[in-house]
Amino acid sequence: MADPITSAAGSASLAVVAITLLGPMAGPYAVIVFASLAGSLWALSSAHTLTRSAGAWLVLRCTTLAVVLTSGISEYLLSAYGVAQGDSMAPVALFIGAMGNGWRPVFSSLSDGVGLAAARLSKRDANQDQKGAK
Amino acid sequence: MMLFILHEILCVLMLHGAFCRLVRVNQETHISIRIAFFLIGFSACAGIAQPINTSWAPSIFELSLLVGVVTMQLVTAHRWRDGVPDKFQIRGRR
Repeated sequence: MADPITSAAGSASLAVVAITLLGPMAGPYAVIVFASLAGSLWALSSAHTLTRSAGAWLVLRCTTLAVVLTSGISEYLLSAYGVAQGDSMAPVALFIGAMGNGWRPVFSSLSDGVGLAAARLSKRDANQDQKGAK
Repeated sequence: MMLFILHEILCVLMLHGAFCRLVRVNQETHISIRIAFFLIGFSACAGIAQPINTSWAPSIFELSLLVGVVTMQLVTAHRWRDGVPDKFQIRGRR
């Protein structure tokens, strides 16, 4: 059985080393990176990857996307629903990572929606101009 | 500190073993196999991040579990050399 005092001191000192090297956000960023890495493993399991490098590239893409998006989404969840950032970071990063290549249809449907809204707005403006001319 | 370093090394090995298998599996693999290796990878990621984020410290029991999983992955690695073992595929032999 490990000596709990020695083990806890060793772990605490490593957490201190991580904070010293990477700053006070070392812990939360470690959570985001490893949660998204875990999520991207699910995306990897459903992808037809032939080589390790292709798999590593997929995992890297998913993890990078999660690192970029997670803090913003967590901030939104805090302001809109009062969910603490510390509680929402890991599930959000896990979800973003697990989506994998599934973001492509999401982004394409978003761009389609924006295009449709812009077309409707321009059509409405044209109609109003015609009515004004009459 | 030695326990902590050993824990991190074992978690990285476990993650590597899960990654190498998950590269090979695809949607034609039994879902239970995919879930099992995903959970191993998930546990490895959680194990790497936990001591960095909190004051949690590993015990001998937890390290022995990790040693067991990593050993099992090493011992069965040769069965994955030519891809996913046939019995794990939905359509049987490819």
